[in-house]
Amino acid sequence: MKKLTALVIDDSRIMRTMVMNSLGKAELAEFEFIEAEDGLDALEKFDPKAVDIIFADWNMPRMNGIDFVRKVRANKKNLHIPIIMVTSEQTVGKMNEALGRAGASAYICKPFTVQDLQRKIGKLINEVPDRSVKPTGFFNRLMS
Amino acid sequence: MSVMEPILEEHPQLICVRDAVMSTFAMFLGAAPAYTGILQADESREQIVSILSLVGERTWSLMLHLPRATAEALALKFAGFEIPFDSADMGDVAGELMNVVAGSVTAHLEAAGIKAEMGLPTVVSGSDLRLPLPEGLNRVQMGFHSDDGPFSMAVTEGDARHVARRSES
Repeated sequence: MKKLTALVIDDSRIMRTMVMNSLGKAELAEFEFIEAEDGLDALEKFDPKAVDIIFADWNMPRMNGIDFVRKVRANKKNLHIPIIMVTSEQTVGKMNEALGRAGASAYICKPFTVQDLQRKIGKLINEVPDRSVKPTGFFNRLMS
Repeated sequence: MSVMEPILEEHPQLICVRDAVMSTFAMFLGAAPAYTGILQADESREQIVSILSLVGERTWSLMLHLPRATAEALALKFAGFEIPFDSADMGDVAGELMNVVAGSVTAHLEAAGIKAEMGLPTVVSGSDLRLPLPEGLNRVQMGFHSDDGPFSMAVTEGDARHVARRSES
């Protein structure tokens, strides 16, 4: 199974645990997790060379999830990293804001099921390079 | 404290809240809870209360009241593992339940042409809780019954988060 590092951002420890448990059950990849309590904490812990995929809540203290997404996407080097909003915000306006202007890759409403995760992020995960596969070729080794 | 007339049909936002509570809890519990009608506030039991404000054309607050036994049963279904009532994690669960209900409320309101933005939840717990509200504030408390026990959702005009802060002090 593909090995990936996921940054999971939620101010609720229980929700972070539920996201991580659900990702384990979804069997889309073998995940290593980095946890963050809000957008600011996530920005401090975010290393584009180490993080393969991001799961971000919307409503959080200090810095919310949508501002975090905008900050990450403002750097063109981060455009390839999938960002999945996992949020209780269910309005069409919020979904359009996240997926359109801010640049999130997918939008999952709480509460979600393992099947929701598989359906909404399966394709995204397939497109992320496997961290357990060593790059081959001179230029790939040079770039890694 | 005055109480609004319990005629939900005259208050579309109350219907949005009732429907959001029923659909959200149906997702957690597998079956929709029964709406049992407007309650007189019962703050004497040991319970956890999650409060969240909605800001928009009107500012109002939602207060989810979970008696201890109901909270423990819901937490088990929500998180998938047992969570002690007197733990920070129980506050986390109550806050998240409130968040999800409020997300559904704002979606129901949007469909009804009413704009509202969610705030962050504040949680307070204990026995014999007194949640003082300012004089003249309109408040309706809707009762529900699920297989995991009773609970209620109060809708209050204005921002009621200070109630929790006052109760904690």
